[in-house]
Amino acid sequence: MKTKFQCILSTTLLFLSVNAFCQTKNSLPVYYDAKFIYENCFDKTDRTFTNQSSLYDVLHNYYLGDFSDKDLSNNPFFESFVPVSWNKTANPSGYLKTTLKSFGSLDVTSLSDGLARFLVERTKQELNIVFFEDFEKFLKTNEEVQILFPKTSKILSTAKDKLYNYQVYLPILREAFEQDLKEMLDSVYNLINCNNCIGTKMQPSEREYLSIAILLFIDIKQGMHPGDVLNDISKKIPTITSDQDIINSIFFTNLISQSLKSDDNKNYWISPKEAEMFKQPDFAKIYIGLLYQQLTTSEDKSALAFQDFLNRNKERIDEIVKKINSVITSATEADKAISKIIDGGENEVNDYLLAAQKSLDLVGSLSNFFHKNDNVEFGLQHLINLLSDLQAKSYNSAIFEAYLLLQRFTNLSDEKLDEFIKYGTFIATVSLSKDSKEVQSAIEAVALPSGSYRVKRESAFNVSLNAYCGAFVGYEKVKGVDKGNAQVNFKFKDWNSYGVTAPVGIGLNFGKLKRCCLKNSQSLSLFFSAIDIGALAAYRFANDSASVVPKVELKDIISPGVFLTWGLGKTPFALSLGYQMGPILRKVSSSANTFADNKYTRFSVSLTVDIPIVNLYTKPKRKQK
Amino acid sequence: MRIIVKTPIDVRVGAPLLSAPTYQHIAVGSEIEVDGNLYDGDVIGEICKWYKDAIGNYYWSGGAEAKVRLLLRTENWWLDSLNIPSIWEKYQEKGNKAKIAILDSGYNTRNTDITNGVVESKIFFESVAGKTITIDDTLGHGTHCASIIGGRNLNNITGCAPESELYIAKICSQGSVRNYSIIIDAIKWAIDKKVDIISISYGGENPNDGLKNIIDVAVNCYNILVVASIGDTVQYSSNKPCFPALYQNCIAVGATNQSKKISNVTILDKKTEINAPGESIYGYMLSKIPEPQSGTSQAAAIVSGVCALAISHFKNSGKAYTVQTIRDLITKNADSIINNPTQKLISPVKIFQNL
Repeated sequence: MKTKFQCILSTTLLFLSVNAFCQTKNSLPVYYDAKFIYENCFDKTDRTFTNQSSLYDVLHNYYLGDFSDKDLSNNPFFESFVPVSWNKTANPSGYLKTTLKSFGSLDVTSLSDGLARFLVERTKQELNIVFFEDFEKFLKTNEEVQILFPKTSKILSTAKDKLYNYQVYLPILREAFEQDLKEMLDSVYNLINCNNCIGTKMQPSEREYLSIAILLFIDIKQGMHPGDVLNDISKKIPTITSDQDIINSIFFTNLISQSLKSDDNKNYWISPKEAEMFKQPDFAKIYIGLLYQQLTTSEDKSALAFQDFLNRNKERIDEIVKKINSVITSATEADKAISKIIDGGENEVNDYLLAAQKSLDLVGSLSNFFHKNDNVEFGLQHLINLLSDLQAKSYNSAIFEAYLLLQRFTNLSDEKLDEFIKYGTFIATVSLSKDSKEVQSAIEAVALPSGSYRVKRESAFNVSLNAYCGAFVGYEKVKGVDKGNAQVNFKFKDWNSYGVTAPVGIGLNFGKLKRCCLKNSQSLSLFFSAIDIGALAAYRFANDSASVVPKVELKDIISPGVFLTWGLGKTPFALSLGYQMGPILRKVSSSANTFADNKYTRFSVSLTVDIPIVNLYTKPKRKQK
Repeated sequence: MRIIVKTPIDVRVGAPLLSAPTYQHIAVGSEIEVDGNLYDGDVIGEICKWYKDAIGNYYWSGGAEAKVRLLLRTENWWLDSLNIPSIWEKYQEKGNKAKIAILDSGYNTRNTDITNGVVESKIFFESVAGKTITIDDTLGHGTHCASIIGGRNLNNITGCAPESELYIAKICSQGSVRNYSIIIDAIKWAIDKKVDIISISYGGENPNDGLKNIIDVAVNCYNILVVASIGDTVQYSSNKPCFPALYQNCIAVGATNQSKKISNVTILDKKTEINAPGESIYGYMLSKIPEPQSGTSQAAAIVSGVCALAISHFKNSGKAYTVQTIRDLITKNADSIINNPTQKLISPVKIFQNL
């Protein structure tokens, strides 16, 4: 019957290929020490240690202070190899230490601060205070989002009372955006370890599993090899779980992983060819013996547990070696996937995906301790997606993955999740902006989101700063003239004018209007216009490349009015019926403007494109009953 | 080994004789690969040594020179330091009556400087891994000790008692002995062969009653001198003096350097009965070119060789001796050591003066 520690060891060996840890006194991995001893200090015909000076030179890394043959005999794996007598020629030791080459970290591209300042300089006029105040309020009231955007939250919170001067904060905000996105995996880690946020939506075992996975992904994202990742995780694991079995398992994995590190530059772990040494039972015994000896200098619980296990199972070396051999083969495959990233050059998203999946497969071996379920599967899948998105700088996709995780594992309402998407997308887009145009687009995407007319169609009630742009036909009454107007092009008895209209004002919008014959949601708006720039719009339609337009003053475009507007389902068109005081700016040309001689009022019907500028207030959808 | 022709020589086929057929004349400057040994043959200009190649052609050594020079006496410094050649010449003693058992890793069976001295040999262990064990030395340590004790000095001067009889007991392959029963069996064999000296350049930190008993038997019952090294210092080791040297009936040997001071390689212990040169001692190993080695192993071999000369001289003189006689001769006729007055350095000349 397998003991608990046998299970642990089996599992440990099976996912050896991923991981590594362990600070040891010696500078060479155990494998190479074992190899040196086997090849230079071991009599293969007589199965005894030889070359005492070299042997002691190697073994002193595993013992505290000076030691003797008796100390060697106390190691159950060395016991049978210790001779009763050595020749007494002082052979110089051939044990040469080599320096392990460490893998360098991957180059991570970053945008310069100068670019950020440039972008801000060019776009600050496009930002508005209201947006940032809302943003700050949203972050403040949602801990989950605060955790995901910690730096942004901190800056907005600090600048709370000074957001009117938001331009000052834009450079650091932009940096904060980028930093928060880059570190989103860390934030997700903090999120799932936040009891207030997760509550009962995640079991402790699920949390531990996903936490380990995230730590692994964070390290891979930074270009670390899975071997170093395990080394890193093994140090952090006590903070993730108090389950000693899990801690032991990772400790053991890392111990063995470190012991099998390759001394060449190409591979992290020893090659399958080198692993053939394990076919030599005596080599394996020396190797395990060195591991055992290494543990004797530690007082760590896991070390003691592993030492105890080895001591009690010293006759099962063959079984362990079989597993080591199969593990090394799969470790080599993982090595290849990782090497592709580490070697540099252009990496595809799939390369990271492959590396992550290889690592996850290995971490998946921990299933002896973790119960995989839908939550875990979901979390892992979307964490992988998040990792690859972050590596590819697909920050918008990353926001969406974070959204899915929030949706699954937090109690955030749909409305707040929608807000998260809105602000998250803003952050992502600004971070990815390469020039002022792109930053402008990012800001406009929030201030004037494409398809934002849908908001009023799909929401119960909405207030917006709105513009409409289109054609009208109507009746004008000029002050001082009883009927009609001679200046219009065509005369009708009652409908005496037509042209381009572009009123701008406040709209009170009622959405989600579905009727029997109307398939899609409609909206009905009460629109109060303040200005009408129809004449200017007409000029721009005809001369959109002109750089200069004649001077237009505010008084020329003032056009207060009231309209009843019908939003036409899934189209940006709206049909309006309204009454307004007409703007005196009648026509714009490249040389001069034409103004009305008198003030006038207009009753009109218009077909326009619905252009919300800023949604000032939106009442959520009516709940489905 | 390669030789370079210095004067024009004829190739002699099949024998080192001027009467042997010759079909080729070798020009000056030519290089010839030979087996490294010198063979007696016809004398030309007082030189009777001939080289031989792999297919049996002989070349007069007076007309050629070894590309790898032969060992100089100055390199094997200990011989002159201990005035061993003076013993050979003055007392005409080269150990021909002494029988020495060397318990070690076997001997180089291809080196006539060694093989010519070996009377008998035996292997005292079986391969645990099921491999075939031969008497041939695969480590070189046994050959090195044998060449110091009784190398024939045919090609190089390495041996202290070049006419002594060597009994080779192979107790290990690579320099470490699995268990004491192997050594015990080898000592029993040496007793059976009626050797005069048992030389053991090995040691372990643990005592063994069986080993002690058989050494007591060899010494007390068969008047066999047992010489053993006290042990070498090993970095990181607790460096304890070794058994069997620590047993009362063993002559425990430590090592000195060329300055006649205690060598750093030796473990210092009050049980050390005598010291002998133990640094850069040339001897044969796996090739036919002498190589330097250091340690109390080499020192013990030198003491064994000196004792062989003394015992042989006793025998040649028809005088009786006991182990204690030899021990007294060694210790009472030793030189003092400058850097450690409690230790003594063997002095063959004084020993022979007091025989």
